[in-house]
Amino acid sequence: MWINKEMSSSTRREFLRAGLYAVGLTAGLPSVFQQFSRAETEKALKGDEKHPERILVVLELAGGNDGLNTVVPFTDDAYYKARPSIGIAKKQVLKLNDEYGFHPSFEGMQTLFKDGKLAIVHGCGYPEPNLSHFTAMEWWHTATPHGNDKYGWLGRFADAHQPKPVDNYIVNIAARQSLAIASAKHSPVIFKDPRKFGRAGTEAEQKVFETYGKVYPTTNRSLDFVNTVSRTATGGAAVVRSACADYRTRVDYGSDNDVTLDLKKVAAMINAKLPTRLYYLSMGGFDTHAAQPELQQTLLMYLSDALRGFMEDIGRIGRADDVTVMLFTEFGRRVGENASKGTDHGTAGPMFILGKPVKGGFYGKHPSLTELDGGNLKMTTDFRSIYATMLSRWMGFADTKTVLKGEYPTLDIFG
Amino acid sequence: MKRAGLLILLVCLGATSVRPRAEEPKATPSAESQAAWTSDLTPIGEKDWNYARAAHLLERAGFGGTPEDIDKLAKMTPAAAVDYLVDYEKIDDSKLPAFEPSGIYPNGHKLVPIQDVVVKAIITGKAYGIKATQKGELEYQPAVNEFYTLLISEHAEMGRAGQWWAQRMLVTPRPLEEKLTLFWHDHFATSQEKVLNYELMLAQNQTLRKHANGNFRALLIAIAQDPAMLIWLDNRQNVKGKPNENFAREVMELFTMGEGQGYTEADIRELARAFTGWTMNPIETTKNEAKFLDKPSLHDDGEKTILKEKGNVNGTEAIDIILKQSAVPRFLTRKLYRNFVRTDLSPELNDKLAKVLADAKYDLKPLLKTIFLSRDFYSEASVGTQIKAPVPYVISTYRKLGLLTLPSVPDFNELTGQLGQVLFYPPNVAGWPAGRSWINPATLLTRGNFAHTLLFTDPVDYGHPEKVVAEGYRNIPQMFPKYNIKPHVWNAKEGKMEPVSVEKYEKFLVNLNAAELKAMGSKEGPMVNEMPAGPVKDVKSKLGKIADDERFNLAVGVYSGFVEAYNRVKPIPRTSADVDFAAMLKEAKVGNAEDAVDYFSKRFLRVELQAERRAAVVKFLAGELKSDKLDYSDKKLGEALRKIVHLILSAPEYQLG
Repeated sequence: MWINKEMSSSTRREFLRAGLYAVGLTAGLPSVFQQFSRAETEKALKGDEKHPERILVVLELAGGNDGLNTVVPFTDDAYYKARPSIGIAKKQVLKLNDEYGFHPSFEGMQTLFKDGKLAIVHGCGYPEPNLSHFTAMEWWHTATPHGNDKYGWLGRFADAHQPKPVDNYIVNIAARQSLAIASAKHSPVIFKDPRKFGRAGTEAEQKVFETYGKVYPTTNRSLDFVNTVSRTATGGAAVVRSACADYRTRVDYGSDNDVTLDLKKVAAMINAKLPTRLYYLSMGGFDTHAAQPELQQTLLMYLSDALRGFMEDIGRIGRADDVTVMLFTEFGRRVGENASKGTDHGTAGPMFILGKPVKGGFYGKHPSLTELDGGNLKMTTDFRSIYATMLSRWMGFADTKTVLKGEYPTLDIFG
Repeated sequence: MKRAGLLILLVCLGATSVRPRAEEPKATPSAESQAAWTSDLTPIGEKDWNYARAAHLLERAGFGGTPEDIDKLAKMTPAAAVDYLVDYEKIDDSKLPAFEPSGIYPNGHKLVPIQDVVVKAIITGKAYGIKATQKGELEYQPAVNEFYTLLISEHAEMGRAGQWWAQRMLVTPRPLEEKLTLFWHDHFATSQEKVLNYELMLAQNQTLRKHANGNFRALLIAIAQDPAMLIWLDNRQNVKGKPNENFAREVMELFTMGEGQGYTEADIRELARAFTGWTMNPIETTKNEAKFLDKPSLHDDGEKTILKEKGNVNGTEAIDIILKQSAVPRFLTRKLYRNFVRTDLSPELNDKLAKVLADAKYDLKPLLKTIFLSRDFYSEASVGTQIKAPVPYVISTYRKLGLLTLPSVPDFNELTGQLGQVLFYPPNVAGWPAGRSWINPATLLTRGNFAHTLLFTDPVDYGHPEKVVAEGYRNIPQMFPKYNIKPHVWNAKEGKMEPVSVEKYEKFLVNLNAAELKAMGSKEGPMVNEMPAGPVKDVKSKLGKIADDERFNLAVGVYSGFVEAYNRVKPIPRTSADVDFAAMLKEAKVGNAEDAVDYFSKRFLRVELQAERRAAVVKFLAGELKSDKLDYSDKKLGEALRKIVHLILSAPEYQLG
């Protein structure tokens, strides 16, 4: 065993930085690391894929972000009529073109747009929308509105794209697993605080835990399953902890908050060359029924600063060509404001795709603010078109019809 | 606190320190005969009855137990043991304490939506029975503060009720009653998240308990008329001319027939009409007790066609039409079987069980007895193959430890929440996703770390006070300096929230985080390290500006709500588990490390610890003790034993029951 507690943290850091697969000395590795053997990792990275280096980061804005006050149609009188007190004045918006401008908090996002790294798709939704947070989010997670699929769209993609599961293929930074990544074959790594992601106990106890990370043949299928998860947990936890603890960056992501910290963890893991292809994150608080101006100002500021920082950081570690981020929310909000300076649950809203490989600009058609459906916007782009675009045009996976349970036209978002 | 009689010598272990593993095979029939039992509903014979099977029965039909508890069942005949668990009305439970409310409605008003409150405050200057406005800045803030106080009080009191129910699960002499109540809570999954009235949630809990092993028809009618359910699935708004189909849909899809089992969208619409007028009285003030109302004026008394039957039916008659469908007993038995036995059952076995339920006119006892007595229940496919749900996982751990008081280190609701199951908060009307979805890398590690916190944390060092502003809201005072929000921390001695300076508060938050990390065995330090920041570009979030002309502020309301709610809601005092593992071994006359590991494996596991893992734990214990022999005068013995129990409770095998 040549990696043990005597191994200095800088050695361990080098080991991770070089990539576990690059070390090439797998014999005698502690069981924790055996799963990252060269063959397995190389296969995971190469296989017969054209772009095995590509990574998709999905960030959900939970609670229903108000799209109209994020991408403001500042030339539309109907907008100001519907929102006399919370509408964002023309002189305040950060202009993107002659018609649309960002919320004043979205400064970092404006920079990304100007640099051509941000695509905005207008009016994303699905037919017969549901206005309950839970149901709407479930449908975005499963990509099967009005259905109740057991697995998420990213989980089904992982199963189809990588039918022989690879450890740490999916990472979900959250206290609880998202339905979006629920998979029949993969065991996603799920954690919130990497420092708490591990087994408590002394060094001597950790030796016993190594046996918990091994899979033994049994006749009990439930036990086989738990053993497999235990193996992912034991290996994944060690890798995630070191990746995060050893990461250093000078890039400013803005103030410390959930989305900032989560994106830094993603940067740390990408830097440590984990074989992860899908990262799933969530940012909450967008349910702005009252006092929306204050709440949204803070939320969008955090979000914009963190994303701009993340993009810079990914460039700094040399992975800008390999990473794109997709943002969505379960619904936009009612066009008309309510009596408490807020907005109630609505329907369609914009989606954002960011990254150096992205062809920046506007896509799709903005829904009309006067021809409404019960006070709500009529969607113009089915969100599954964006999913299909991310899977086929970015991840290079052709059979989106099976994964998304339907055929959806893709958008020309990637160069 | 130890369960009485814990130290009684275990008959099954014998009077000498024999390895229980060596004794087991005699009592356990070969795997082949067990495999032949799969799907066989023949009652298990008396000669096949033993300690291991009694342990399996108590694990599934209850929450497991101490060796004494298991032995009691093992000494009965199998039929008597099953009757003892199923016919639980015969057991006196009058000593179980009722829930003690904190009194969260001092102004006599309950929660109503914030929009209504703000409107009321604007129009009348009053809301929730208090003066809703104030002079100067943040005019409507008093109303908003009271809204959050009530909202947070509702959740905090519900948390106490969850703790109360868990305590009941732990000590009840009728374990199956609570296991079934939990099953029905999952089946008719209603959440405080929407109901927002803990009294109604507790009343529903009592209704579920009342009918838990009774008749399903009676249970279904009681639930259809239950105020929490009337709110949860909107039937109180289901009125003639404007039917709301939410409840009708779920009755067929989730409560009786199952999705795609022979009903149409038209049936749902017609069924909704039958339920029109089933509503409840307004409950905004404490003057009114919640009551089911059957309002003829709101009932659609036209002709309906439900499942091909025509007639002017009301809610009860509609339920009877549904219960005639053969899909119903099939659906219910499948769900009960999956909960109590295993996930895969053949259509033939499903039909056989459905016939038992149908023949008994939906009386549940014959079905429960058939299942628990069957060879199938004790077959290899059933024993030790179930992934324990979080609540039974935690409760059975405490039962097996012999505890009589639910520890609050770690906090029960917080723990089961991390594991994915909070009592009174199922994720949606479909209930908790069961089986494998309980286990992922995060929850698996949390399950093991739970044992560590339980066995190694002194409440004094726990760091997590009885009441602390929920994560995500703790930084509100610092985030909004403009409003001068006074930070508060819980003073356990005084029993109230106490204002502190910002400096002290920051320190408190740092310590809280450090204590949480320590309980996990991790070190302090940032999650991701930062070097000194480079030049700032396009970064706005450090400015923290807010608008100037607010009439109320939600952040102020949330923080103030936490402080006020915590002053209203009684605390759950921090107590920990005090278990004397050395005494257990001494009583069982265990003399060496190997036997000690086997003793605890047998006590806690229903699936044998894999050989290499067992060897590693034995080696570990011998290493800690620096000897293969146990020395009961060694002061370090207790800690070493706590460590091996932590190891065993962290094993993949312990996830199964």
